[in-house]
Amino acid sequence: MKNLRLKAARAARDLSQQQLADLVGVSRQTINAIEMGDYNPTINLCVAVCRALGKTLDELFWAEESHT
Amino acid sequence: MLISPAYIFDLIAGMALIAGIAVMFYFVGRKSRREKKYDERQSLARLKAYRAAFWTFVVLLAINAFVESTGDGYRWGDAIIEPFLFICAAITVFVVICIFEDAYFALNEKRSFYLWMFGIIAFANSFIFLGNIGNYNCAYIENGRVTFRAMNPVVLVMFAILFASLAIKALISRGKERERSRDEEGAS
Repeated sequence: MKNLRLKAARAARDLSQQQLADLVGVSRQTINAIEMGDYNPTINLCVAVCRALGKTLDELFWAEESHT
Repeated sequence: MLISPAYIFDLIAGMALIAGIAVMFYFVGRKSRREKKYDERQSLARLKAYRAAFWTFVVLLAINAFVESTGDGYRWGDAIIEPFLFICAAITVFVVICIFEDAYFALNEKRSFYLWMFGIIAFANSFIFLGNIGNYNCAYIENGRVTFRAMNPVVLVMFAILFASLAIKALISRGKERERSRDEEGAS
């Protein structure tokens, strides 16, 4: 599942994937994989991303329950 | 049996050479380990690639043992080329998986350097291989067995595959990058 909230938060800060990757200390491909939902980051990386974007874990990574 | 001084000298020289190469590899490896940094996704992808390379090596060894045990002592290659081929196959599997999983290059490494290096090594080996084809003193097959001289074409194939993998991955990445920047421009 794509992480559109992360993408939106990054865009709101006017950061490219490479800039966010440099802030967090990972490769650009890793940020892309998280946004595309191809990779589930560890809690350490989630926290680092949240700190870089000034968001909470809930705001960026908590999956909302789907009501069926 | 009387051991000649020349034999002892050769033995010591050989062991010193091996020790020297081992020390060199240790220090070069330590330096590169310190400089290379992979993120968590890359480390995970490299672990999968190591696993695939390990099983490639094991399967090739098993097939080779089966073929040679059923062939009444038949061996298709000499004692050097057989393990060398399997090691090269395993390394190729590892590197190709790493390349396509974006886990081959550390965070501070440049792709173009490796592309050039793989291309130059493949080209140099093709040069040696083609030069040896007409040389009767450098037979690739002797008495029905592939000789150690086939290491050149093996290395040539390996680096040609690695070069092609890097080039294909670079093209794919460039296409995706263009698509991604178009999306981001459209969104902003």
